[in-house]
Amino acid sequence: MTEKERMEWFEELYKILPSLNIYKKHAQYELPANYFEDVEEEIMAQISIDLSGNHNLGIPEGYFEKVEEEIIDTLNKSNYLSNFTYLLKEKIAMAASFSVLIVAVFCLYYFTKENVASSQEFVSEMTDEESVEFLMIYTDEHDIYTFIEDGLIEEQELNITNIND
Amino acid sequence: MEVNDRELLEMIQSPFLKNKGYRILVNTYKERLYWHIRRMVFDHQDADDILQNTFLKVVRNIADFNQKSSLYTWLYRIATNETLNYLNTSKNKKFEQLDSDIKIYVTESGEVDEVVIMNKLTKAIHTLPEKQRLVFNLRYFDEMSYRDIAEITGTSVGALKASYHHAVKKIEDFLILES
Repeated sequence: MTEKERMEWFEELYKILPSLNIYKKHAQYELPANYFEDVEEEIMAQISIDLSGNHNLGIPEGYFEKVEEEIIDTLNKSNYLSNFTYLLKEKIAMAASFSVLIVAVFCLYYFTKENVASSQEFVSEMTDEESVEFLMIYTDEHDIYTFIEDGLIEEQELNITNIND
Repeated sequence: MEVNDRELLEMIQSPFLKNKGYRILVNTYKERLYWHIRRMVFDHQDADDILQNTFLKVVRNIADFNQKSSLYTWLYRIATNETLNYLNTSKNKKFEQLDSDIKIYVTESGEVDEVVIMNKLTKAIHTLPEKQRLVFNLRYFDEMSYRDIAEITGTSVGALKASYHHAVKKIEDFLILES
């Protein structure tokens, strides 16, 4: 501020509020002891860090060595877990397949047995007339030759039948 | 060691004198900038944080300083912007509570009555809107010319004069009401 500007400043304030001019220089806010010395050192330390480009982000000492071990450890645990999961899944699949197979075999056995038993039972309960009638309806000449081959009927009987026809 | 702005900037740009240049810069302007900030935010801790941020910003941007304005108005502009940013972000947080916490001590030449008046004056300044407070502080405490204040605030000289007069009148009204 030049001397002229200072005079203007003083006159201006004197015109607006003269009382303000008296007290300006006498009072200040509270301040910690040696603040300006301390803050200068603090600012210079920050400037040095800023200029060196070394912005210390607070990495603990030996961090990179430690983190390498931790990553490998985590990966190992992860592999063990995935292997275990794979084995578990494989065993469950095998057990499920085996169960399905058992059920299928059981069903096949049970229903086949039941059918055989029921057909044998059905035949045993038939009278001779019913048997003849059944054969007449459900057999043809090809079946008759099969019966002869299996020895169920004699060839002589076949001839008799032919005569009857 | 007395150095002018140009010499100081040359030192800062030199790889060998950089640190010394910054030391002189901080040493020369720390108190003025601190009080400028403190009168705006009142709280010491806030002023301390803003002051340190201001100097870091100065260091990071000094290459862009075009020397069209004086170094000290450029520094004040950065400090003012930092302070106003702080006030805008911390509004409704704690600033409103400071009214009753303003503490002032009196230097050796001061009288007891002055303590009372200065307390009132500080409270009166606290009631001013931010922009008016800024203009009042720069003009009243820092005794800056309107030309320099215009450079710092980016406001016309006419508007600054009006703002300063309004601020002083408001302070007067407050002091009359308090007494």
